[in-house]
Amino acid sequence: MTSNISLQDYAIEQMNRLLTTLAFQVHRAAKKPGPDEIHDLRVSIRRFSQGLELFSSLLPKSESKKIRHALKGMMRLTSSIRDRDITLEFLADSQHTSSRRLMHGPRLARERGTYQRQFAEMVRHWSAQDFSAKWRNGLSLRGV
Amino acid sequence: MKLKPSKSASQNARELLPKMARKYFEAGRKAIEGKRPPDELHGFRLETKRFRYTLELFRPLYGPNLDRYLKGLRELQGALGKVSDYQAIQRVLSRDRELKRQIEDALKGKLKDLRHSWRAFDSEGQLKRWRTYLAGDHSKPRAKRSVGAVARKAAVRGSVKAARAR
Repeated sequence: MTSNISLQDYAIEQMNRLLTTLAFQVHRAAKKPGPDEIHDLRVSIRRFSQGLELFSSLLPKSESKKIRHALKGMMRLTSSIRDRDITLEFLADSQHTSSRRLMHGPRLARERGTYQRQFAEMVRHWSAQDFSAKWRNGLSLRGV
Repeated sequence: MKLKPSKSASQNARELLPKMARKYFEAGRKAIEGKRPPDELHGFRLETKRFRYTLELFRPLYGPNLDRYLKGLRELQGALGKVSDYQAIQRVLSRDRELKRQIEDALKGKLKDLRHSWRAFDSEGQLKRWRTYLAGDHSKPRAKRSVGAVARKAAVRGSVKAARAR
């Protein structure tokens, strides 16, 4: 990495890297949508979104807008899953009586299952479109 | 804060990041030191993530020294995350009156931890240190001292130790 790299080349390099990680995390979470996988996916979405925002003046506007919209939908959905994961973990703590776990556990697991199915559907949609190749092209990231 | 395509990536980072650091510290002081409801911390938590991920985007231009700064930010993010977790639990279990008190108490504890973390992060001179570091040119490797200079320094250190022992 040289200090004189142009901003454009640097942005392309970083965005390519972030998109590769995001694509990996999407497939990983699709295979096994556990709490850690969902968390890591959300982190990779945030990182990629931050790249889109930071380098917005260098990236095609309309494509960036569409991608951000898609990412927002995924964040909203995974947020519902994550909230249930955190709460289930809280209830699993030994200091809580089993009655509380019995009272809320099945409902939370059911709700998580519903969101998980919606998540699987969204990933299927993304994959069918080959989202990473599509976004790479749309953002003109093939330059470097 | 816009980037300037006519300047190199490194120049852009040196101009953007110190300003971002100042804004970030100001936002933190407002959000954490002020008497604000916990849900307003949510905005600052997102701000923390944005700041961290922006710094990490420029990490290749700063090198491993940046990690020392990122470490503090990660710790703060962890404390903010704990508060956020309890807020999420509160939302999901809002109908359970028995647990309500327990969650509120836990949240209070996490808010106390957060204030503690923030004070450590924003201790005397930290903002200045951040800004100076981020504005500096880290592309040039630091000049290595000659073998002679290292040996001279060791000799001086040795004689001081010997004098102390006497």
